[in-house]
Amino acid sequence: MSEKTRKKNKVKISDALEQVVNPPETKNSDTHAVGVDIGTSKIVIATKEDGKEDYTSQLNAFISVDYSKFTENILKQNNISHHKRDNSLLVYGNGAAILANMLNSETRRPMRHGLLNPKEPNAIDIIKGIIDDLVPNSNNKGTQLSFSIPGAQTDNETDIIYHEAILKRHLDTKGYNSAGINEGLAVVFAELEQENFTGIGISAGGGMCNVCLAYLSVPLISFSINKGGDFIDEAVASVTGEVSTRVREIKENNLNLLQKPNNEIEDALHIYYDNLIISLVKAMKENITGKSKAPRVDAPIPIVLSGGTVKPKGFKDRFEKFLKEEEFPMEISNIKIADDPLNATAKGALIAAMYEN
Amino acid sequence: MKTEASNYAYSAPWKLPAKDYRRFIEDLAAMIPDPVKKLKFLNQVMGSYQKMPFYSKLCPPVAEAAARKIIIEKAKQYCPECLADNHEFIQKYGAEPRLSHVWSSLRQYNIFKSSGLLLFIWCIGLLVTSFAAILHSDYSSDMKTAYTEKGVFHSIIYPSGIPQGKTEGTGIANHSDHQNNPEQLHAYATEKTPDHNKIVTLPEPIAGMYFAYVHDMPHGRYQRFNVYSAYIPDDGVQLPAEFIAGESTGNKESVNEPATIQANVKDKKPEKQNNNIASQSLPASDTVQKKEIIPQKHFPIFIKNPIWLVEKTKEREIYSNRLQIITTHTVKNIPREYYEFFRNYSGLPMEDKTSSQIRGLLFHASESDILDFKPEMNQSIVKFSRLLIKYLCKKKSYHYFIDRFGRVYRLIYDDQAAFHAGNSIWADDDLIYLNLNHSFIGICFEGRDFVKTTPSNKEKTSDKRLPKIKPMGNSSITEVQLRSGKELTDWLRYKYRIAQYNCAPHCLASVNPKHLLIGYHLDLSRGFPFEEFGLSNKYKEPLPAITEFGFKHDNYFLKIFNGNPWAAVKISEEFLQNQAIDNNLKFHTHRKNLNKKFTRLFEWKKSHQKNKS
Ligand SMILES: Nc1ncnc2c1ncn2[C@@H]1O[C@H](COP(=O)(O)OP(=O)(O)OP(=O)(O)O)[C@@H](O)[C@H]1O
Ligand SMILES: [Mg+2]
Repeated sequence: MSEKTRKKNKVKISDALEQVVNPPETKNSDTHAVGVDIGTSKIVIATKEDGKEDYTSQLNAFISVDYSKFTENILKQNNISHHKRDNSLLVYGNGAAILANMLNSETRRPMRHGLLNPKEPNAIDIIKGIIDDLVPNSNNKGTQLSFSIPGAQTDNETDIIYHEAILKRHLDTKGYNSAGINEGLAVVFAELEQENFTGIGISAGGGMCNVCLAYLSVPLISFSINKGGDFIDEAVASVTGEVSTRVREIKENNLNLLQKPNNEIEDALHIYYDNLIISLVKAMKENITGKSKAPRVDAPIPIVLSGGTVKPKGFKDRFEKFLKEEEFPMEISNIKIADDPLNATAKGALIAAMYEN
Repeated sequence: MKTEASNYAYSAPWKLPAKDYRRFIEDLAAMIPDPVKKLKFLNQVMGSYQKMPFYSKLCPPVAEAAARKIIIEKAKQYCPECLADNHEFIQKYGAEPRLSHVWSSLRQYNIFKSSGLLLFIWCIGLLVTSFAAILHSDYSSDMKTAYTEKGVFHSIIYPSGIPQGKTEGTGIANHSDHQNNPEQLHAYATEKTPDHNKIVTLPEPIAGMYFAYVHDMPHGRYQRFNVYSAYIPDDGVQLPAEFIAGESTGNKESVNEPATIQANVKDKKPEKQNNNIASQSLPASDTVQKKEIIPQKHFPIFIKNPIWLVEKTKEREIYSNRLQIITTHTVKNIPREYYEFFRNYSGLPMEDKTSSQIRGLLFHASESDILDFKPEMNQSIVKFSRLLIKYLCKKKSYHYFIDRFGRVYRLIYDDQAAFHAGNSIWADDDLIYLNLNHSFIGICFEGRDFVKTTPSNKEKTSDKRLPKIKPMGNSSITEVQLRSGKELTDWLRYKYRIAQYNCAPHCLASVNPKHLLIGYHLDLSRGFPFEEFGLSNKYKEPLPAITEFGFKHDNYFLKIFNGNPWAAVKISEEFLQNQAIDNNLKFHTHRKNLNKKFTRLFEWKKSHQKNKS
C-alpha cells in the first residue's frame, strides 16, 4: 500500500470516527424531560413524545482490540461506536457484543456493581461515549434530566458521591439540568403510581439489586446489594467451566426457574438464582427491621420487581417463597413484575425529570 | 411552574405525619389522575412536613393543623377539580382540628410535666392562629362528594337466579344446566316422581337428565354413586351442549362426526383445543343444533388486574375485589411438597427435587346435610355450617370453605397441603398431577346434589347395585356462595398466577387408580358456572386422566349419566384414537401403554410417598 493511499484512508477513518462518536443530533430541541438509567450492563434513555414513552438503549460494555485498519474499516462499515486509543480500538455499546462474539472474546464493563469501575482506566471515557451516542445535546437551556444512581451499601457512600458527580458534570455540559435519582425509587415512580407511590421497588439488574421502600413517594429506606445478573453469570461460569457469555445466553433465553433443570448449567443457574434471591430477601429484612424507627406504614404494601434479572419464568414465585420463609416483617399486599422490567428504571427517571420541569 | 425543588433527594430520616393525616393525603393523592402532578403533590406535602418548625415536636396538634392547611393548598394547586367536588370528603376527615384531638394529644405528649403552663398557653396561641388560618379557607357547602370506594365488584348474573326448588324427596332432575335453562330447572325441581328407581318419562317440555342413584361404600365424606336412569331428550328442547355432544341413548343417534373432531383434536394440547370441539360436534344433530351452537368464549389464561390485600385484622382479610376471608378457623397442616411429573418427559422425577408451587384450584361440594334455605332455618343452617367447619378442620379437608351465606373461611394455610383430592389426576402444559392435595387449592362449597334413598324390596332383588341416593332436584349451592367463590377464585388465580385451565370441579379430576377409572367422586358434576367464573367449560374439555393415561369409565358411571356423560369423555376418547393413529398403534395397545405409564408413575409415587404425595 502506498503512502498516499494510507493517508487517504486515515482521513476517511477519522471522518467516520467523528461521525460515530458524535452522532448527528436529532429530535432534541423539543424534549423537555429525559430519564436515563445508567446501569451496570445497559444504559437506557427514556423520552416522551406526543404522550408516548420512547426507550433506546446501548450495552454498557466495551472491548479493546489491537488497532488495525482492517478492524477499523469493519467497525466503520457496521456503524459501530469506537474510540481509538494509542494502539488499540475501544469498541463500546451494542457493537461491543457483536465484536466480542466475532472474536470469541468477552466484553469489559466500565461499571461494576452500579458504580464506575475504579479498576478500568477508560471507564469514564467509555461511559461518556455511550451517553453521547444515546443522549443528544440539549438546545433547550434547563431541560431536566434524571439519571439513576444505585442505593448505598455500608461502605460505598463516598463512591456514590463521586459517581454521581462525574455523570452529572458530563450531562450538564450537554445542556441539561441533571440530577440523580435512586434506582429503586425510580422503579416505584414507574410502577406504583396507582398505589400513590407507596411500596417497595426492586431493580435486579446486572451488577446489583436496588431496593427502595417508599411511602407516598418519599424514600424511607433504600439500599442495594452487590449481587445481580453478572454475579450469576460468573458464578455459574466458574463452577461449570463454561464462558460467562454463553451462560448469560442460556440464562436469558430459556431459563425457567419452575422447571427441573435440564443440564448442569441450568442446575447451577437455579442454585445461584436462589442464592441471589435469598441474599436480597435477607438484606430487605435486615434493612427494614434494622432501622431503629421502622416505618409506620399502616396498610399492606405492594412489591414490584424489575430489572433484567427478574425476567426468567418463576422469579416471582421463588422470591415470594423466600420472602415467606424469611418471615418478612411487613405485610405485603401484592407482588408483581414490572410491565417492562428492562425499562422501568428509565421510565421512573423520566417521571422524576418531568416532575422537576 | 417550578415552585419548589423536589424532595426525593432529601436524605434525612423522614418524619411521617400522623395516621389520620396520612389517610387524608393518600385519599387526596388517589384522586389526582396525572402521575407527575400526583408526584408533585405528594412530594411537596411530605416535604413541607419535614420542614415543620421545631415546636411541632412540642405541640403536634398545632403542627398538624398547619400541615392540613398545606395539604389542602397543594391539592388545590395540583388538582383543583378533586377538591371542588369533595367538600364532604374534607368534612369526613375534618379540615379543622378538633378540640378533643388536641386535648388527647397534649396529654399523650405529657406537655404539662415537661414544659409547664407557659408552653401550653403558647401552644394555644399558635392553635388559635392556625384555626384562624384554616377557617379562612372557604369551601362552599353545596358541593357533592365524588369519593367512592376503590373496590369494583362485578357480580355474577343468573337470568333468573338459581332456583331453590322444593327438593326434599321430590326432585329428580339435576342442576346441571341452571346457567343455561333456569326456567327448565324450575320445572324439574317441582316435578314429583314416585319411583326414583325407574326410568321416568316426563311430558313435554321437560327434558333433560333423570337420575336414580345408589350409593354404596361410604367413603370418607364422599359416596360413590351408582346410577341407572333415563335420558329423555325431547325434540325441540334446549339441551346443554355437553349432553348433545355425548352419545345418546334411546332414539337419539350419536351426533358426533368423528372426522370433524379429528381435525380439531389432532396434535393439540387437551386444554386448548376444547372450544371448537363441543361446537364442532353439534352440526349432525339437526333438532337442536341451531340453539346450541354457541362457541365457547375465549378466557384469558391468567388474571392480570391486580387484586390486593386491603385490610387485615385478627379475624379477617379484606381484598380489593370485595373478597373477605375469615381467618379465625385456620389450622396447620403439613407443608406442600410434591414430585413434578413432566408431561413431555417419560422419565421419573428426581428424588430430591420436589415442588411446593400452587398450580391450580379444585372446586368441591361438601355433600353434607343441607337445610332449606329460608329465614326460619337460619339458626340451624348456621349451626350446621359451624359443625361442618369443625369437622373439616379436624380432617384438614380443604383450604377454603364457603358457607351457605357465602362467607369464605380459610381452613388450611395456602402454603400447606389439604386432603381434598388424593386420588385425582390433572395435567397442564408442563406437568401431570397425580394427587392434587399438594399442588392445588381445594375450595369447598357447602352444598349437595344428592340425597339418600332406600330402594324398595322389589328393586333390591332385581338389581344388587341399585342406587341408594337420588338427586336433590337442584344444587343447593346458593348464589351468594358462587359470588364469593368467584371472588376467591379471582384472587387466588391472581396471587398464584393460576392458569384458567387448571381450575376444575373435583368430579373431573377424581379417579379410581386401582381400576383405572374416571369419575370416582362426582361432586359438582353438573352445572358448575364456568363462564361466570371466567373459566372455559371443563365439562367439554379433554380429561387428563383419559388423554394422558387412558383411563376408562365403567357401566355404573355411564348409568349415572344415562349413557351421556360429559362431552369431555367422548372428546378425550377421540383424542386417544387420534393419538393411536398418529403413533401407528392399535387403539387398544395405545391405551394399554398409557395405562402402563400410569401404573409405573403411580407405583413410583407410592413408594416415594411419605408425605410427598
Ligand atoms: N430474559 C432474561 N433472563 C434473564 N436475565 C436477563 C434477561 N434479560 C436480561 N437479563 C439479565 O439482566 C441483567 C441486566 O439487567 P438490567 O439491564 O436491568 O441491569 P442494569 O440496569 O444494567 O444493571 P444495574 O441496575 O445492576 O446497574 C443482565 O445480567 C442480564 O444478563
Ligand atoms: Mg438497573
